Amino acid sequence: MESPAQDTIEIEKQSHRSIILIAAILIMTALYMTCTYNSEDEGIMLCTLVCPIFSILAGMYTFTYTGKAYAASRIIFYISLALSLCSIFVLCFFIELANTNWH
Amino acid sequence: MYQLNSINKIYAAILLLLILATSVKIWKYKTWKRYYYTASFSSPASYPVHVNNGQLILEDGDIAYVGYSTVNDGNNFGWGYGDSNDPTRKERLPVKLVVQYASFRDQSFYSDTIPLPVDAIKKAFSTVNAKGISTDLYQKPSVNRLDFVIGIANKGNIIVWLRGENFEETLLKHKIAPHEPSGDETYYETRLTKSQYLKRVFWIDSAKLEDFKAGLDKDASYIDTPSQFKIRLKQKQ
Repeated sequence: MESPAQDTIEIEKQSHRSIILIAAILIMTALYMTCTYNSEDEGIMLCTLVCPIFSILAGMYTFTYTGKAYAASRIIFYISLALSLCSIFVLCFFIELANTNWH
Repeated sequence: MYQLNSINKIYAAILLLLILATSVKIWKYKTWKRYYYTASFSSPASYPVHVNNGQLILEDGDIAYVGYSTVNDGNNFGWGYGDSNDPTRKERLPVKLVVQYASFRDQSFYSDTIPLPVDAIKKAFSTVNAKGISTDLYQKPSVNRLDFVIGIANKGNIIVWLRGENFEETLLKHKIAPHEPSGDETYYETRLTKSQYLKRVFWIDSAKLEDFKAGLDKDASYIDTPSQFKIRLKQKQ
């Protein structure tokens, strides 16, 4: 049987690996988006997607590692959630603006 | 070996998928087989044409449009000079040319899909860095490009040139037989008859019409006439 202290150490190790993996996923996402030619419009679209992707990854992290030690992750998650909602809203707004007929 | 808990397994799977997707994307895009180039039409001033459709079919099945504003607007800068639009992105090389146009002097329509000499094009592009035309890109370092110019000579003759800074290569000469237009070949804002279409797209002033009636350049064979570019090149040497 593992002692509670060992358990905490193991969870901490896993959480560190999670952070490394999240960083790697974000770098890979950026690479995937920019490895071929993008027009200016496509570039704006992709920039807007970065925040929601980070929110999903951070959300998974936050709901897995609960406890006092992970309070900071919760704050980061809620900030990123707010930012991604903002960015999606702004994108929708511009798409709607572009669709409007100007007479 | 690192032990991963379930959430890290999910992260790792996402990462692997991303790496796979990125490799597939790079492999499909093939940057190392892409080049900067432009393509445009040219026609002699004494033989006005109106291009309805001009496209290059590329190696990967994509389409690049051939610039025809100079020809259709009647701004002929000299036989063999095309538009001068700067390319914005690298493209795969063309394998076929699609051309559809109407000639004013013949009052007839021409349409064809012409295979291009792929090996000759590849060979020319292998020296693009040394012989290409320097082009400034928006907010990027300048690159070297080549220009395809498609000359529409009289009597349904087509000539394709490939140009760099100081060279011109004739890729092919091709003759298209005139045919009766069908379907959208006579579409200009709406579907028109052949004579309506020709009247609509050509704006020829009366002085020029007189010249044409008098038989301007009647016996000219533009397919065999060197381009203005070539003539200037010879003068420089």
